[in-house]
Amino acid sequence: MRDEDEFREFAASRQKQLLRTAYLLCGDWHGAEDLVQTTFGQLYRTWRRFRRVEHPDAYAKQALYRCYLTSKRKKRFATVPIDSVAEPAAPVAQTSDERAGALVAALAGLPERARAVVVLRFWEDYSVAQTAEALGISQGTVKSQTSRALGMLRVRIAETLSDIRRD
Amino acid sequence: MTEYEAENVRTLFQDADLDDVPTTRDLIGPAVAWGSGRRRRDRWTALGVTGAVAAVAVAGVVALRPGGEGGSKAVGPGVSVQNQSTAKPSPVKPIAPALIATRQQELLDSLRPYLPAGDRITCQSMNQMNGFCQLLTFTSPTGTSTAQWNAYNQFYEDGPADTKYEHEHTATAAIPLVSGTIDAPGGNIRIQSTDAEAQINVSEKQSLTDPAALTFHTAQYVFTPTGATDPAKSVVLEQTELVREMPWKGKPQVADAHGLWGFNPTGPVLSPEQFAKLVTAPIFPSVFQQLAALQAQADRQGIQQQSSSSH
Repeated sequence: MRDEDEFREFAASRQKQLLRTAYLLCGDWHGAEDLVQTTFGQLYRTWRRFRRVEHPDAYAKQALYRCYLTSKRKKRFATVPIDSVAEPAAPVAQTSDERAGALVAALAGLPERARAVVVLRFWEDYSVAQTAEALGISQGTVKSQTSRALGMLRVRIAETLSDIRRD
Repeated sequence: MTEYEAENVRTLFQDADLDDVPTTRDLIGPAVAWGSGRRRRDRWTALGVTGAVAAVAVAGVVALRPGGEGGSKAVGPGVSVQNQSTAKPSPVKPIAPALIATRQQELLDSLRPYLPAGDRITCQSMNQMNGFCQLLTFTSPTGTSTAQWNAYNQFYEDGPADTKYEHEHTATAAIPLVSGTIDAPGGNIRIQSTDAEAQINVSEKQSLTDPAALTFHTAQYVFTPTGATDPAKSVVLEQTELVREMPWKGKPQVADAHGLWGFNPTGPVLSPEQFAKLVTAPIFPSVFQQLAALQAQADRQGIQQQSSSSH
């Protein structure tokens, strides 16, 4: 099988899973699609090396998180000229699930790296060490970011948490 | 936040129903197209050098390619591709690599009047393929920096600051340059100033007495002309160099570290202001375009060679 065919097969089988994670990071499906496409581009660029790694799923997720943080860092500087702004795309229904909606809204209020840490720790169920490795930061930073992020989330999703307690 | 509350957050994630994943466009095709382009470019970047010397996307080159691709826009992943040409480039008469190298150096030398006295830009000798040199050496009386430059596009990869081995630089007496944005004649310059640990560029950190020693400095400048609305009008320069000797344990693992990475205890050879003077020189746009066209030519010849040798 050709390189490209192999990659397409891999990407297609992981697309939905990556899109879900990207949605939690970006807060909207269009942003999630952009992020996953960027990640696929980076993965294909290094496919010959990447396909031989021991845990390709973990590698793909790591690439997704790093692409996310890179794109956010660039956007801090970005000035977008009006004439280069594309026509707004047709709206995509975000999510009908109340809990998912509350979660995404709460995550959107976190700083980018804290959001990535929380999604890795609680969505992907990564350990502190795995999270540190995936984001290229120290374990101490993961712990402090998690603590701070959870503190912020506590306020933002207090009502939802109360509902969970009642359940 | 108690463990109990953390568990509640975990439960919230687990209960979130994200089964319905809408997809509005093909994500894989454009990604493959972009990734293929980057693979080709990667062959020209920083051979043997990793980490601190980041690969720089060759933005404007697409638009400058000879052979009928002029006017097309660089496209990367993350953007819906609508008008991407799939036509194969028309054949272009090969140019001898030696001629490409000579022409490139002539173009670089033509910039000398706009550099500080005694400075020069040359090809890093170990980084030349098909005549074109992607990685340059900026030489001043105090030392050298290895450098790459290009036009900016949104897929330019910012050097990672504050990652495992690379850290935001704080001002020192030797290198006062810090990250930020400054006004410069004719525009402004966004600066990213980072230090990197010795281990970032070696495959075996056991070969170092102090792998975490900050031995590299990287300065990335993005010059944006006043009033520019097209990101491709911005010019990116990235300079990297050793600012102190590598802490080798015993025999150096790299024979010519200064040649490979550059060496200048006072950081980047060009200051932001000197870079501004260079990029606002009247001849700069023309030189820049000709260099990009030369690279495209070398790139194309390399692909043709690979293609013919694989059949």
